[in-house]
Amino acid sequence: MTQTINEVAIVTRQLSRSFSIRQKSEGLAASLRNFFSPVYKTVNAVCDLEMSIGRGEIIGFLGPNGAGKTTTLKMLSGLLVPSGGSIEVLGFTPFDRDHAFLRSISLVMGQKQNLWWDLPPVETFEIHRRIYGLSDEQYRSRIDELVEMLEISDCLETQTRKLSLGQRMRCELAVSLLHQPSILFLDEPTIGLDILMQKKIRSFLLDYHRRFKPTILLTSHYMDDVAALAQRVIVINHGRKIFDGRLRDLTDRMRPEKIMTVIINNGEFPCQVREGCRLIHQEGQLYRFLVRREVVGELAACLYNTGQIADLTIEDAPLEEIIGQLFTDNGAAAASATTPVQTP
Amino acid sequence: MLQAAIILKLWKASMMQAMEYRGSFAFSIIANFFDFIFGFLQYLVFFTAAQSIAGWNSDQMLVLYGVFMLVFALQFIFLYPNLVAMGDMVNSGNLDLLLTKPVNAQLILSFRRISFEELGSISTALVLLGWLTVKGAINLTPASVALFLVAIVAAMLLIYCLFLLLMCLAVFLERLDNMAQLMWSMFSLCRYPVDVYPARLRFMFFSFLPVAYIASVPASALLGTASAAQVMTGMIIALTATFATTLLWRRTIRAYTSAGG
Repeated sequence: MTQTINEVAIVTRQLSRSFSIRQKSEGLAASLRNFFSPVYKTVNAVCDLEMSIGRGEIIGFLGPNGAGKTTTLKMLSGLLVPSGGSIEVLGFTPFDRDHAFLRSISLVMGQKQNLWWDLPPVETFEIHRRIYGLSDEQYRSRIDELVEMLEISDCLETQTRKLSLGQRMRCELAVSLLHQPSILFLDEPTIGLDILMQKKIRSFLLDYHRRFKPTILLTSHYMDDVAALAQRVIVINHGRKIFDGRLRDLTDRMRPEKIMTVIINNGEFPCQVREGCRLIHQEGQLYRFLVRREVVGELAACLYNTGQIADLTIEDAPLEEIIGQLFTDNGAAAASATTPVQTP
Repeated sequence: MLQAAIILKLWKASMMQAMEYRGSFAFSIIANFFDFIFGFLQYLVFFTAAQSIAGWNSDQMLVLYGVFMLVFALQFIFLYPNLVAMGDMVNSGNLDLLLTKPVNAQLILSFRRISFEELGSISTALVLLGWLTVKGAINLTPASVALFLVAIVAAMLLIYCLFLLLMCLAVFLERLDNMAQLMWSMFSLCRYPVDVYPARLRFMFFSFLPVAYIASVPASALLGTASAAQVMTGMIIALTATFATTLLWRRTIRAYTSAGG
């Protein structure tokens, strides 16, 4: 994936958003008390968030549930007014809801839909064509291209409610991209989809990005989405940024070891277990080690030279595990202590 | 112009959506027709026991009923389905997607859906008013027609303000069940001539809670008993209320907290 980043698309400075959330203890008596005298708690969903995203970048925006990802996306798309700090998206202040700004963005939310439930998707496309003022020629060429890329020609004229979740999501993407937005906010676009459909959506997004170079800000709980699409990740937890950089740097720093799985033909393990190498699992002839990157080559060579190896695989720790570790206090400290914030 | 084109497109989609459920569509039209007829019979029952109600004779009362049904059907066609949809949109968070579109959100949310179920009521209300004209109960003159049209526009604007107020409440409170209940209560006040009510209530109905302008004043305009000043006062109140509720809507959208996330 190659791209040119020469302009800033999104800048936030000390961006914050707090909500007043009503509190309620358990039980009917508490409900009654709360009805007449509600108690509110201020929750800081996003705190002093600083980020700078270049035009054409694909950013994976990660964090556990309630970390502030969707709130940030909503502030960036002009839905929520920040409690503090500033945002600039393509030179606009999002919550002014300038029509030129709204014409340049698109928000896709995996659990919400633009499509009219009782009508075929083609009718929603027509409505969006009117909303974005597309000419006949623009509309025809864009719809043809999107239909081909998303392989949705067979569901355009079927009622939306009769489509499968995967077909609906692909039609949602087509509706959202009809006006060719410069910025695409994707909030869990593959949620609930099977693996095959997730892969299709990912490869479509990569293809779309290659052709039109929009800036994409993606949140997803599926790490495969992030690994396949994002060149850079921003990780937040409790509303604060804890990492901003390349995914590769994150994995290198959080997990400097590789996982080496060895199956030997028979007998004792044929090599000396050396420094930087730790056995984490053994079952029969199968051995699994955590091996520091610098000694991986040496150990692998030693194993091959013995001629006793039936199989050997070397892999990174699962991304879910690395990200999960990042959300612990120690993990966050490790990541933020060593990672320079990347700015375009 | 663009907003009007979008709304027309949305209405077309609404019509297509209604036609997906042909049985329900036909049943609603028939049910609304009978609702009109039963209301009409109620008025006839009143006049088996009385010659007039608060100075309104039976023909004048039928004019009021015809005007009331016309206003009611118009709001049911253009506003009510949007009020129902608004509650769902706030609860489900689908309002988010509409607010990220380059459109006048207030206009689109207010008029994106249209219901054709009350078309039967409109036709029957017009037939009733036509019959009363032929019968001589309504004396149509250019002045009375002009005043009637202004009064109907004012009535629709006032209903729209109440509707917009409810939409703001739905956004602000995040959930508002039975939003339409307030509308129905207000409409039940409008079924009868405003002269029926005690003086203090009557004053309120011409000022703070201007229900008099929903049906009584338009009906009086058609009967030639309303003054131009009275009709214009209704229009001024309606325009002021529209301006105030539009400002309130803008403030509400800035305070919108969205569902989830």
